[in-house]
Amino acid sequence: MKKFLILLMAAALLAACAAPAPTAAPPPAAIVQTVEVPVPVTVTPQPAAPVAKELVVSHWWTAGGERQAMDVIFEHFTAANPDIELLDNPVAGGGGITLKTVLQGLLAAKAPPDTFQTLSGSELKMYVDGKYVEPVDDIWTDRDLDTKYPEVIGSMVTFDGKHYAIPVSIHRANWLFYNVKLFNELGLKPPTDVDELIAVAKTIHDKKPDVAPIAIGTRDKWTAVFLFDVVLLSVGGPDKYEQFYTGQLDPATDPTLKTALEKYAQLAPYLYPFHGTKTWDGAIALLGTGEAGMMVIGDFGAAQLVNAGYKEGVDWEGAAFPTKPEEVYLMIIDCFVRPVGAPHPDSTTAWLNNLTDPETQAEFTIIKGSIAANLDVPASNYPDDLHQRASEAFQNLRVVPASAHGALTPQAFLSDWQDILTRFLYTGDIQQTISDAATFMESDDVAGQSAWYLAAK
Amino acid sequence: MRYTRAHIFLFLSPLLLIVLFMYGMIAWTGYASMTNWVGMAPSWHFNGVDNYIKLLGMGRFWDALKNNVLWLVVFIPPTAILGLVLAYILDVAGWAERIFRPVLLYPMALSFVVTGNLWAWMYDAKGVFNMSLTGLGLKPQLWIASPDQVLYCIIAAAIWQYTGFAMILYVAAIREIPVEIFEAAKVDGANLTQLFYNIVVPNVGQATMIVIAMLTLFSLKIFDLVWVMTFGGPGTSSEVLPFFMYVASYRQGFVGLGSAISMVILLLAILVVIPYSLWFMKRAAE
Amino acid sequence: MTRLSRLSIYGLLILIVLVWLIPLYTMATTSFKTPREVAEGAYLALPRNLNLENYQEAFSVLQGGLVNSSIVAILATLVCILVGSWAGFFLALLKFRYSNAVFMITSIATFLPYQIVLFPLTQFIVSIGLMRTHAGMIVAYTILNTPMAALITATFFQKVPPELQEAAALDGCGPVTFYWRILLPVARLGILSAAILIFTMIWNEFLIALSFTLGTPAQMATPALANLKGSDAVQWQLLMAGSLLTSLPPLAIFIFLGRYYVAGLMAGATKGGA
Repeated sequence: MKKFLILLMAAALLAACAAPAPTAAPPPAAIVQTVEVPVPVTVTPQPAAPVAKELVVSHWWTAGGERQAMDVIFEHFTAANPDIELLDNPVAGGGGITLKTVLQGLLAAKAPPDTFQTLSGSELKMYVDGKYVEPVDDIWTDRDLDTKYPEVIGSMVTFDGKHYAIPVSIHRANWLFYNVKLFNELGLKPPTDVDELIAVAKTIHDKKPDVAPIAIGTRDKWTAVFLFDVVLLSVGGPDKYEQFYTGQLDPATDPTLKTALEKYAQLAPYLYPFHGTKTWDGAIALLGTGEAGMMVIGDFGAAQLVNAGYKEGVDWEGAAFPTKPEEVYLMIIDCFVRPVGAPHPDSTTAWLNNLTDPETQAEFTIIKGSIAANLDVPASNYPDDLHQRASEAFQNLRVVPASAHGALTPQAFLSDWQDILTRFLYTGDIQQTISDAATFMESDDVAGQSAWYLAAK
Repeated sequence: MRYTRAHIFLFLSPLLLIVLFMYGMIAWTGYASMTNWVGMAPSWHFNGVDNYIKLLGMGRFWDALKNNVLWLVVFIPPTAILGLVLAYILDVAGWAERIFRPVLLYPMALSFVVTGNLWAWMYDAKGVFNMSLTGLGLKPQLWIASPDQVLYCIIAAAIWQYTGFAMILYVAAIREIPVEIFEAAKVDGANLTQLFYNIVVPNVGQATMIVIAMLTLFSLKIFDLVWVMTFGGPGTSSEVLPFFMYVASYRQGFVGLGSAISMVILLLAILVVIPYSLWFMKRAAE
Repeated sequence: MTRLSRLSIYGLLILIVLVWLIPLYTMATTSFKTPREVAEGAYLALPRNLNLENYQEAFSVLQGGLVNSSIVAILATLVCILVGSWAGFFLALLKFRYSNAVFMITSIATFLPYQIVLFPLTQFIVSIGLMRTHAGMIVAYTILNTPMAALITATFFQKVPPELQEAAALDGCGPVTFYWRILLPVARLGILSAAILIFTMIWNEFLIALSFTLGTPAQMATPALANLKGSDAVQWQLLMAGSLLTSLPPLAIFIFLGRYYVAGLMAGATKGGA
């Protein structure tokens, strides 16, 4: 027995030492290449030549459509940098909720990946405050991003005068997707404000009791915030929206919040009843199959529908919401950063450079459903109607950063706010919700943490 | 056998090192709970019991605690009772035990992630339970989509997983009851139910202590099941303390607060473990 | 006992067994179905064909995790058992002045919820530079599981007949020799029980594996399985296939070595304070 044990131990140790840590089993179609071509990829001089050039990328684009879009970036990157081995480390969970858990450990460990995904604004500020990311001003000036990128994007990644992330694409959060066949059948037109939304929901509910008027997937709690945001925009307009999320409003006294919650409560009975167990992509799937009529979500929802085989204009359509009192572009920016102490900083620089390339962005955004950050990508790049409308909206309308995932509002408050809102959907207790909002605004120091945004305005 | 101090050192020091390390980590958590560490970068600003006071004022804390208490009340008695009844039946059934015991026990080999996925699927809008209900002409239920039903649904999955464990402990206990007592009672004409109530139940006190202690400790650790099945939802209705700790530390960055929650969990665990250990040591010494 | 009571006993048993088996049955049948069949919702029906696609896809995503978990679980178990049984030996057989005290503090350490040391454990593994590695996981699991290994092995060692010890002492056998040449072979079933139990616990562990390795090359099977749920609209047949795959090692151990598994469980529960 003892001999066997010793043999077993020796064998296991040998196996563990001999085999290098296996690379993450990639989802189908991720690309890993190790072609030995000595192509200089960076401008900065390198220290004694590293054995293997790698790039470890952490992100959360795992859902259908997102994955394929990420692969496009990988293809472009590997084409430009064939000697860097690309290691994809995706962590599922919309908005990066799980990724942040893992990242927290890694960053504290001073063992960051070479780059990771973030959403700009307050969310990025977390990393900046923790001194976990380095400025990327060198790339910013190199690639002339002050001209190539819209100013509003630049301001969302600038802290203390330095840029800390490279945006790659922009999503719009305030789309209302609806099932075309259902609307045609019932003779409905897409609503333009929250009262119309309630009316449309009621009609669907009355005429077709088996169909859930509004799809939502609150297992991803942020979907509740997405829905609330458009209600708030409809009730109070973009100024109140910004004030609320940056702690400039007193929830206890401001009537806008109360009205918004009242309208939100009126929507609650029309939500898909099992929303507590659905993730966002599970919910949007309901729209495709016709089990639900409408869904408020960003244009990444469109990518999901397209990937599942549903056609724009035939099966589904997207309408900007709300269009009254003022239609705005509620913006979500996806960026990548340069972590402090990245194991392969040259790879990181190469990656970030590649991200700014208009060709990469052009192809990526078509699949992803977003629009390119780089203004060199013309609106004509996008083959579909939704994209073009988004592109036009971005250029012509007022752009407001979305609260989603902690871009406009601090992460800690958003996490609490998500819980408050999802609980509100079940209790309908407006007073309690308002008082909770006030309590958490204070304990999460929303006003203090949003000072950077207000100062930049 | 003769042994020297060096032997003690050799054999025991690795374990002692590890155990002391564990206690060291607990002390670390205790200290962190008294700082205002927020965000990703460590910050050791001492602020006394502020975090605890804050915790006591948070509705979410009391909700989570309430859920934990609910777990204790709703999870432990059915599991223990079911385990006892099954153990008795198995004992009576004789040869069938070979087959039935593994069947009832296999859930223990599954990870909570697997159990959670499995039961989440069975509770799905069109899952096993709702399809059965509609098949019988009854209304489908929300199950884990309902803030009222969710905790009971998760507990049901946990009962399924742990009943086998309670059962095997009771099987051992029942075996220790001298056969003569059973024989005597049967001679007197006792039937199975009477045997159960009058002989088995009074004599499994010790095993019951163990079962309750173990199940309590399991209840305090429940995290994976909640994470997989509902992620604390809908809203926060199925949150338990370990989950709340996770959200506070990892998703909101309130490490100081999260550590305070950990200490509360520790306190609850100690309230069970220490008296139990003492009781057991005493019995073992007899 | 009467015929009626015998029948009712068996009837009850069969009913309960069905209740316990239905989840596993549905998991298995669903794992072989196509998405369309799953959508139909006839969960009791057998799949039309033995569709292996789900397993192929689940395997392609999980294979890294399965390999990593195998390496980590086996090595960590070995270390735990080795270190644990050293201590268990001393605590059970060679009583010395502080035996009881050591027992007490070890059992308290065993039964504390490990989540409360998650953060400091992370910091520690970070500080020795082993985040995202197999070695880091092994160290973490060793720390968490050795106390339990010590307790379980101590329980089994106590059953070793004292005559064996006396005979060995008479022969001039020291503790070290006794341990390797006599104790281990004699108590090997107990050691096996402890090993099986600890292997299963490590394999099924979720939170630490998630925090330390998810999204990295060293990711473990159980969090990888949880991650599977997050990609694409939930595809139950895929998830069930993945669940079965991930459960294979502990289930196989349970089926073939069930006796030892049970012995380990009971030893862990009934000894050493809890």
